[in-house]
Amino acid sequence: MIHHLFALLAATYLLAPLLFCLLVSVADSNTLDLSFSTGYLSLRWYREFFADPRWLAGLWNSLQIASITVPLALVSGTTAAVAFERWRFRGRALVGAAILTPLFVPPVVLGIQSLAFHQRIGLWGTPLSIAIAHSLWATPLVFTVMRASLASIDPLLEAAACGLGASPLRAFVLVTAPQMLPGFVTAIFFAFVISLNEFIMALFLATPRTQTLPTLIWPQVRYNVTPVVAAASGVTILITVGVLLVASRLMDLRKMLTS
Amino acid sequence: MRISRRNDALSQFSILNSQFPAVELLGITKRYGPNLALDDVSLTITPGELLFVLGPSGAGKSTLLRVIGGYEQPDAGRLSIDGRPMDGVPVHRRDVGMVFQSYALFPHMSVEDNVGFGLRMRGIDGSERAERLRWALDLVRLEGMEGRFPRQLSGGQQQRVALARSIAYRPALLLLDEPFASLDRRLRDEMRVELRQLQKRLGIATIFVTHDQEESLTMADRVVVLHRGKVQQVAAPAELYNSPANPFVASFIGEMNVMRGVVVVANGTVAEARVGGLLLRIVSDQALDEGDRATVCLRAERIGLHSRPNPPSPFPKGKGEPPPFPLGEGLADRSVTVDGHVRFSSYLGSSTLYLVEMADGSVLKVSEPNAAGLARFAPGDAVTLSWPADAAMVFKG
Amino acid sequence: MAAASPTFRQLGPGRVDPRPWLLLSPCLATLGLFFVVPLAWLVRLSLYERATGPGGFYLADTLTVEHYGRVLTDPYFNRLAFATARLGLIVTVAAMALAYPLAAYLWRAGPGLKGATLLAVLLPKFTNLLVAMYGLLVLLANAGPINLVLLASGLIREPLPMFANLFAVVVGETLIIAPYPILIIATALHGVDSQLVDAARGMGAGPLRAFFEVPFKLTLPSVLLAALVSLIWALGAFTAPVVLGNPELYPAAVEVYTQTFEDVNWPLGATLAVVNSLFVLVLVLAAYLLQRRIERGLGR
Repeated sequence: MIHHLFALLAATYLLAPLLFCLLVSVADSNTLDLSFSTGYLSLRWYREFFADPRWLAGLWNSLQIASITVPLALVSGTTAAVAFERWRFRGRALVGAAILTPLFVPPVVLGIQSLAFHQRIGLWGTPLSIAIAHSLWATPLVFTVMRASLASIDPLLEAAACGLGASPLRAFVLVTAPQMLPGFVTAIFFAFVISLNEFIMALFLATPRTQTLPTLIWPQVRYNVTPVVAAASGVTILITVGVLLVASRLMDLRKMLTS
Repeated sequence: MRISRRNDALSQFSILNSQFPAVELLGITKRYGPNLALDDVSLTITPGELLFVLGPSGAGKSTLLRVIGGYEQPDAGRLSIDGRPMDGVPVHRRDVGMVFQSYALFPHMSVEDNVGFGLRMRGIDGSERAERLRWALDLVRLEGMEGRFPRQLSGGQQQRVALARSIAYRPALLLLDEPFASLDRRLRDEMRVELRQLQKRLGIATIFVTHDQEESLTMADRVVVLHRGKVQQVAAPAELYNSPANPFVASFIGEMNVMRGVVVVANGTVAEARVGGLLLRIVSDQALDEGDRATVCLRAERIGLHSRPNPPSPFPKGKGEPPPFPLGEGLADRSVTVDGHVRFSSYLGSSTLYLVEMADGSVLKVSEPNAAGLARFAPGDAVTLSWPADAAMVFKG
Repeated sequence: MAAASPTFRQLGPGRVDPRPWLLLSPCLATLGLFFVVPLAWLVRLSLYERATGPGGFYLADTLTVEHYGRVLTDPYFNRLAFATARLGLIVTVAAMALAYPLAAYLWRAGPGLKGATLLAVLLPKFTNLLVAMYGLLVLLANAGPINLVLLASGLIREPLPMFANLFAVVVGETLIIAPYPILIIATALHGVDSQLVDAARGMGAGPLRAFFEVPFKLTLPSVLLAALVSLIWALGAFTAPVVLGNPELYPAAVEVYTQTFEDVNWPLGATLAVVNSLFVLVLVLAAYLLQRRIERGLGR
């Protein structure tokens, strides 16, 4: 009994800030004062958000950068995962650890090193620059997800396909790749969401033209806290949840089709 | 890369009448590190033959199949299928059908797509594909299952799909890797009959790998017995059973008593050997000398059991102990008798397997059909065993 | 020696199969070019002199260790190091204290509760950290709901100062970090047969003792890994301190930001980042050696 209570408290602790943020974004009051007796639910902050071109530019940048991060991470992560799951080669352990290393480097360090380097090679100030920094995290995640997906696929199936006349490449494309689809969808989701919400690296790399939504929220939170910020936050939460729903729909659909 | 496949009717004709052996192996050797999985294996398989590869686990059976299928490269030796040498020919260009022990059905494809996969690889589509699909599914009695997916099928049905998939494109050779291993007893027996009938109808040379000797005896045209990568014997089931080439083959098939002894008295091919505390008459197909070591193999069902109070031969009654030299009267007497007690009996329905202990403590397995469905003896009974002296197979060494 | 490739792949000429390396090249090339090279560049940058006038970020082609000297000796940076280490340790302890019980709960929970708990743990990670910190700011504010409730019920007379202090930062940063150790420990526990605990209890161990003896000891390496991961992240804390803290409490990561963007002293920022990373590297090595020790002790 007591452990259920504990879990509930823990879950509340973890979720409360998000919930409150959503609450504030639909509250009618102008300050952080949440006296619901005076205000009632309203979408004014969202209206204000969508009316402001700076916020919209930030949203657009975030989406654009995320859609560059995803293919970058997918290509790097998936090819590496295939190499690991279908071959044995010398130095595996070392290469595997190396691929995961960026996940353990503090984002501030990743931010400043990317800033210094991108500035030096003239990449600074482009959406690509931020996407590349985001893929430092996204690639190892895609790698992990796709490895798990591939590991669950019986390698004998490719052998069987070859025995039936398919060249090794064709066997992979026709037999293994379709079974990787759920993992693929999960990986896309992870990469997209990571990039969308990433804040610290973007903070270091963003220029006035390439501000992302989190970097726009940042000064507001720091100095001038109006509930429009909550609306901006609400928008990112909603996009994330939306992508999650789409991903799970896709996977359900596929299960439906094959049964 | 399409494999050109001859016209259907013509292909059946040409397979059976090909002047080439279906498969020819010469000196195939395969090593995994220090392990010799296949040791100088040479074999010829005739078109349309159903050949079994029999042996205990680790004998190299699956390795042999994988080498023939192209999934492994041999370290030495030559292989040709239907007259074509297979050096450097990759898996997908050998015209072979393989059924794996785990079936390896494609889970994301329907039965139809699974079975039609090989046809698709060969560029066969349209009405010809549909016809062949129908034919293959009819053959394995799975008509109407085209739209199902593997996870919706039972084990037996999955097995049939795997089979249909590998014959749909009429390969020159069919390989089966313990396909019935995960089926229950009844299904297995049914599938054995079906498979053999199917194979004869199609006339495709087939290699069937198993560790189940009963399976090989009931189905095979010929059996190859493998042990530690070496071919022990290649023969038809009857010959294998009655004239095994060595003690391993002898003891691998059927319930066999294996006794080791030394020849005491010899007269050409007839001798008396001391085996444990017993002196037994043996007949060999080679000349024996005094002092030769011999391995005597005697099938459990060739030993006759008689209850002791009424022994069939003229020995002193009542004692229950074997006389020191029970065969003292001349080597021309051709029957061997030994006294003992039943220690254990195993009722198998149509027969009973007894373990009978002799005076010197050694134990022989004796199998007897159950008249009227009941065992004749029970543990503790005193019995006399007898068998014709030439019923036992004798191997030197 | 490159070992044999999967059975159905024919090995190319020669012993080393180039194909896996071809497949690895996009990943490794990107990693090399955009992670390793910038890291090296960062070290080089930390050895530059700072820019003298506006319009530059650093003086190229110079070599100086003055920044390292400052970081290691200047009392300001010593205080910074202390603040960073203190925050790191406190947050790690808090995160682990939350993580292990919650992971244990996850392990034993039925499917419905398990899913819900997992969702609660993962959802913050899938949303904007800044957003979560903002929400926390709202919750902890003087005029926020917690204080309102406490004031209204008469338990306190003045609002509790719950933000812009160490308490708020710890609460915030723990929220950010906790999912990592929770997942690591939960994964490790997943591999432990839950019947082991029942067996221990059957032999007379009380519930807490049974849990301690069996699963805890078995998952000790993962617990250490979780603590290490938490510490690494806690030492790099940025978001929580900057939203919920005050300038006296800012750890090293924030200082890097300040030096880079406010003082525009890139070399100094780089130096701080490098020192921070070196510290983390030392920690990782120490943990690795410790883990080896423990595994030998557990008889693996």
